[in-house]
Amino acid sequence: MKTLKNNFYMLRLIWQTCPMGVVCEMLHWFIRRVGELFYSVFLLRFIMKAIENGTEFSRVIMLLVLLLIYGVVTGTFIAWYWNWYRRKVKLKIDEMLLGKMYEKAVECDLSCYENPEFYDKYTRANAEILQRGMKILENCSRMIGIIAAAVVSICIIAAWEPVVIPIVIVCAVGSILIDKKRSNLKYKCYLDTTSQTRTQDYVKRTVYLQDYAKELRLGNMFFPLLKHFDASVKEALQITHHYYGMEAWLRVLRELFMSFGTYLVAQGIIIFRYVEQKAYKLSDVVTILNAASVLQGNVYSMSWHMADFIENGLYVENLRAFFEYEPQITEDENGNIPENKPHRLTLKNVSFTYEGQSKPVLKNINLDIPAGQKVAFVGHNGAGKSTLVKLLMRLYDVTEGEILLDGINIKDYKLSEYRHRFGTIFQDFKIFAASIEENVLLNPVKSKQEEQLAYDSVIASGLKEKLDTLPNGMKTQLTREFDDEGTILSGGEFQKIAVARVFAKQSSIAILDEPSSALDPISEYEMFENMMTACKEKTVIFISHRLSSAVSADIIYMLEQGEIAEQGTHEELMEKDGKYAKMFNMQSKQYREGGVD
Amino acid sequence: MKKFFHIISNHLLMAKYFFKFAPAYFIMSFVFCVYVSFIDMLSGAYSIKYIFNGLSEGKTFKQILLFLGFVSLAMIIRHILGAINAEYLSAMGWVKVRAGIRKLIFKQAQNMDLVYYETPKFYTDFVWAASQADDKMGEMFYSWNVFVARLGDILFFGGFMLVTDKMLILFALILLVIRLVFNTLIVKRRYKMHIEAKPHERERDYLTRVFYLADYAKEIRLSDMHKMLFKRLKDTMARIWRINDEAGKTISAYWVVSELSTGGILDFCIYLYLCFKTLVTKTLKFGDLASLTGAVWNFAYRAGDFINVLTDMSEQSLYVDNFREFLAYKPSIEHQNGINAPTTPKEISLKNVSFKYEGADSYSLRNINLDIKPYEKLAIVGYNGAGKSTLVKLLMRLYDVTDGQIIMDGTDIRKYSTDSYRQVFGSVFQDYKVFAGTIAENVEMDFADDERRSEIENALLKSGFSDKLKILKKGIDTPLTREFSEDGVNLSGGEEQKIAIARIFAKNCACVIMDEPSSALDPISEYKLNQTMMTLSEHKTVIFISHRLSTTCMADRIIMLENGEIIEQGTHQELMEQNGKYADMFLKQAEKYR
Repeated sequence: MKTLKNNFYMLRLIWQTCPMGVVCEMLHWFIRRVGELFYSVFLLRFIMKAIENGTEFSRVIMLLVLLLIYGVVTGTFIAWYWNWYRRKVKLKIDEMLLGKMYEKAVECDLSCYENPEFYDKYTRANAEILQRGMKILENCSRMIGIIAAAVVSICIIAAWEPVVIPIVIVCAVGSILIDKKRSNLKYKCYLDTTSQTRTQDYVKRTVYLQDYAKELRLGNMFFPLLKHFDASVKEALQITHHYYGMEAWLRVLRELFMSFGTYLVAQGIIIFRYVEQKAYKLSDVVTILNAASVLQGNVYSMSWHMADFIENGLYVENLRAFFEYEPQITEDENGNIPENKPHRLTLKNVSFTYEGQSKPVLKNINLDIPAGQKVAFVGHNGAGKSTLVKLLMRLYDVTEGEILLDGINIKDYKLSEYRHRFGTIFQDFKIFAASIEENVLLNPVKSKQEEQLAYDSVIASGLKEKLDTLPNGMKTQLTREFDDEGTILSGGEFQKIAVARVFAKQSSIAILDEPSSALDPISEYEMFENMMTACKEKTVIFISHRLSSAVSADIIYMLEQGEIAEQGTHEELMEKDGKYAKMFNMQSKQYREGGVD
Repeated sequence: MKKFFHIISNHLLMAKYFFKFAPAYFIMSFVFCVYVSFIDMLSGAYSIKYIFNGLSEGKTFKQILLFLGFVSLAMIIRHILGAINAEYLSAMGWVKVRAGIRKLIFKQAQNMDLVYYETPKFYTDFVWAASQADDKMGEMFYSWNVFVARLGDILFFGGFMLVTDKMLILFALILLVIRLVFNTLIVKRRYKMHIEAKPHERERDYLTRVFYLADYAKEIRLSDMHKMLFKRLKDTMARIWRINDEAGKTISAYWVVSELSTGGILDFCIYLYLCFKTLVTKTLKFGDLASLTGAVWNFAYRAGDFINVLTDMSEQSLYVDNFREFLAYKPSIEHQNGINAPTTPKEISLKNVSFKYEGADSYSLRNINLDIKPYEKLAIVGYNGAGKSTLVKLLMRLYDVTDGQIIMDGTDIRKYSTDSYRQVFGSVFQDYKVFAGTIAENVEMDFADDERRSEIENALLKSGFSDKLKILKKGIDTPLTREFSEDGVNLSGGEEQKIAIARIFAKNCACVIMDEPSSALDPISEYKLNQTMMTLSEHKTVIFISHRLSTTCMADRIIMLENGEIIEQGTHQELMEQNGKYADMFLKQAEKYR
């Protein structure tokens, strides 16, 4: 029932996008299936009758001409539809599904990406989205064609020999039941061998991916992996033997049932009635036997399509769950719009726990960041620094407490406008396959001013030299995703583009999440210098491992296990001689000892 | 003709492997294919002829029932064979074939020199191509089945027509020729279309990836980038449609002509001919007519499939060429024989060493001369891309030098057996990997023998992993990652790094190489690591690469690389006095700490 609902859900989506496509696909399969009946049932019956009655040959020719016309009309339609229009239908469906899917993806909370269950759903939906839509339309249309043809043949048979019908139906129902049991077994086998398949795929990956090549060559790790591989093959064989041993016998049973029932019994009855009881004419026998064999063929293929139908249903179930997901952080159209001026950020008793985890990542944080302040967050790995800035940008919502922007809870602002107040560089920033200016603005370039802004930002981030060597300047396409001639910049240059984003964004708060980790020392130094001059007016919040960058901050917060352990300026914290001082001394010791001559 | 034999021999090679891995499935499949062809002819043509002719000639019910019984028996055998073959043998067979072919590839891939993984061209042609063999085997096996089955069909249906009415063969052949001509045209046009659409499809796939991957999620949420990407997606889809539209018009025109001449006119002629012979000249019986109409189409379709599968097979043969080359590959570095390398620290000298990556325009390292004394602590510094990592890879003989030579203990390192030479080094890289296996195996990088257990625990203690080890119930037998078992443990980045570092401590090596091992560590862990490193390596040669110059102060000697050349070398003091590039770099880093 659920399967039916799910398939229908998808059909409705397709119908809304492209009703003509649905009509043509169905008509097409209807012609293919029912057309078969014309030739094998009606035409042969007509010829046989002609033999029995000695009909004039010219009348036979007339019929053949009619058939020719039918063939021409349907043939043209099928050729046109199958080779031309159907492509359009497929693309329309693809576009609709992709659009729907990614609009949803953009809308859903960032935490979804970190929730394995949700992401798994998304992965599965995404993997097949370009095939499934059309597949579902085809599958449903085929089944309708089959059912139509089956109904017609049942009517034909019923007209002469209703007794055959229950036999065929019993066989059909029986074989569908057996098929259900079979696909159950297959599915169980698939489930039970998942871990073996995963093991084998993993070992394959370690052997052929570049990432592992060095280490496999410098040690003998390959042999323990191979042992796991061999063991998993053995297990997989045992499990497969267990399930498919049974499954094969069920299939034998099903085939016997089908062929015995429809072939021997149904045909036997008809021939018996003709030969022994002279119940009808030879032309009738021809008609019934052929109708029976068409019916048999349809019942047979129905069972294949039924399996696809169920599989499609499962796919749609998954997709629907994704489409119908309600994000928690949503765009509030009526929300406040923050003014374009420096802001004050206040955190009151903020705690945060990742979904599905029991331990809070942040506990009871109280902070006040006045406009224009330079703030550094420092601390060990996993102290909660990155989580804190994600909360500030409202990529997550706090579990407890509240965050205020200029005294108003950030949940009361219009989301997109609120996020526009921030310019950010993450440690794992990404460059898009687009032009340099688009990558800097993160927006299509709409005006001359914007062009100028992008250019100024790139210059400010120290890319002038590189820019001069590029013939297309700011219009240079980055990455080789779209064409093999695309420009690839070095890691440091890419990072400068990311820095330029912050310059270009007319935001009042800049957030830097360990932006310098991939840079060599000199580039790091230059970047910090640039950053500080460009962001004089702005509030700057940065996270760093390297305490040298924290020295110049107005205030430093040292986080430990989700709590603020110490806070103050560099001097204050050094005087306090606490955890920060200890960490700083450890790092600076080598420099001081080595650097002073 | 020579090409044809080449194709056949390629397929025979793969068939030989298939047969070796799953003989029962292999034989059974082909026997079954031929048998099915026979049954199709029997039930689809001959029995129609027999029953209708029999009925009109007044055969008794018993006779016909006997015949039906015979056909049913043949069908039952077909289904039993089919069920065993398609379900049980195939399920088992594929597990075996996939595992067999993968192991074949694993063993060979283990022998490939590292260059093959790091040069994109070699990698796609060789390693990646070989990794597809299990999927390709599926395609090929399918082709062989179609080949045998359709050959059987041609014989059986052709034979049936020959016996019943020879003229029909002529019709069937015309049908076949028309279909093939148009099919070739259509395939060509479709191929052209795919080529045209490919770049746009790549664009579409990129865009879908951006929306799908978690990596991009943050940036997409914080900007209006998605609006631009949506627009691009729409444009791309429109371009794909334009290409499809143009091709579709031509293809459907071909198809219409083909369909009308075969399904329309030719079909009309066949019926006309058959009806004429049955009704007017009465030389053909009704059963013949009813069976022949089906037989003509069956013959033409299946013969067409036969020819199509030949095209597929010649394409697959190209793949086998690659695969053959892969199997024939002989490594020049990996597992090479030679004399045993010394087990204690010895002098290593580089003499005029230059190195160029295969296919690259410029040298990554130029004319390097360097003597590394036993027990020396050597730091290598320089900007990104200066050639630091390449240099240590040459030392470990992951590559061979392009020019010059590397000498250890007076012998060119190429004279040592590779396996024993690599025993000299313990290493940890910036992009270290942790494997699915127990902690012990991951430290040992091999099976962990019982007598090595205390050594492994000791190594983990030194690398600072012991706190974490205490809370793991299974201790060093804890499986890492969830790849192999559900109760596997996923470690944090810092913890994984400690495992990687423990590898050096556990390996009884003469020389330690560290390529920026501390990059993912926070300051305190980094500090601890540096301390331990120094105490450990009193009896070893240590070579390390680092961005953080604070670490390099401890070295006996520092070499600074720029554009593949050594530009400065000496102790920290010396280099600071020299006031060159190193001093500049150091001061910039140190400035804020003062």
